[in-house]
Amino acid sequence: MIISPQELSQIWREKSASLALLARSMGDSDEDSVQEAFLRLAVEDPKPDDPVAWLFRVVRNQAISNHRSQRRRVDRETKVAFERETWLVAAADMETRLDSQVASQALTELTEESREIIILHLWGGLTFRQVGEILQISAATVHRRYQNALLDLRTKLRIEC
Amino acid sequence: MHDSSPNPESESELRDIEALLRQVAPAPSQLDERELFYQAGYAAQRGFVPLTIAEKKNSPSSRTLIYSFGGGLGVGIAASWFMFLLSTAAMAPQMERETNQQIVQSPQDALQSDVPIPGPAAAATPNISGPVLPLDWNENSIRTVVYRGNRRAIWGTRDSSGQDNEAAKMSESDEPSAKQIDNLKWRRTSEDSWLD
Repeated sequence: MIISPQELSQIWREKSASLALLARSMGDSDEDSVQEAFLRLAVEDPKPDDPVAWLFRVVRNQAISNHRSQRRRVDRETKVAFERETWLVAAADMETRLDSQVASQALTELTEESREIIILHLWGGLTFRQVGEILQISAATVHRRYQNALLDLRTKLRIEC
Repeated sequence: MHDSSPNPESESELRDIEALLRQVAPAPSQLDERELFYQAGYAAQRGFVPLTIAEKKNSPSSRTLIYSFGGGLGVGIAASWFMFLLSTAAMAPQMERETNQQIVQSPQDALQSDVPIPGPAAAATPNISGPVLPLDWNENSIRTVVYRGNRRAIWGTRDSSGQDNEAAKMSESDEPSAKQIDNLKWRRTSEDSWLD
């Protein structure tokens, strides 16, 4: 049984931005991997037990593949796009004290693994166990690295808590 | 990167940082949901995932091909219809002129034209070209036909009641004479008879 159009649309509305952020953070500036992942999900039979986690895993793997295959050719272009793109925007229903540009810049300065964990858990909504399955590490390790990544962000954002 | 686990005092700090980061959200995707569902439907029907977006950028998409084909077909139909209208409009004055020429042609013009007018000579020697049905009319057949069609004119035979019963009374022995037949032939080939 493949996924229903209603469920596919709901996942698209709720997670496409997070998936795109993950793709961008891995150098896939055209978000090709997101589109391809949704297309694969649409025809996946039977549908995955956890479609959201499945999507993040496919996007990540595809982004890694694209990034590796195109690294030599587009390394410079990717770097420029990486620095220019706005990854984060103010949440629609929140009054924020955090500048989205500053947050984006801080996020780019994290290590790739820390950035992935932040995106997958904080904005992707995946549990530590699901993140661990994607990154092939234990949930405890994910939890610990997530906390460390938050502290790094606090330092980079110069936040006085 | 902090290698050690955060102490319990920092747990609240982490929650504050987490809450602060939740005030921003990932930038909206530049992808179009309609495009996804179009391609998803395409993939579901065909049973495979179509070209990736990166590949599609180097080649026209299926929808582009459909639009191109549809557009080309529409343009072709429109061009054909336009050419038909154009040719019709171009031929209309010529057809009208020909019609008018036929209408204004006077009888004198018709007589002066080279169109052959049937006359006695033409009737005597009909200009028949091509295969014709072979006629097997012997003299008796000619005689019979001439007799049956012209007996009134030749003999004026009519009974008292006005009914023509000569055909019933006449037999082969009552055939017209050779002189009468010759007279009939002469009459039918004479110019005087045609001018009458």
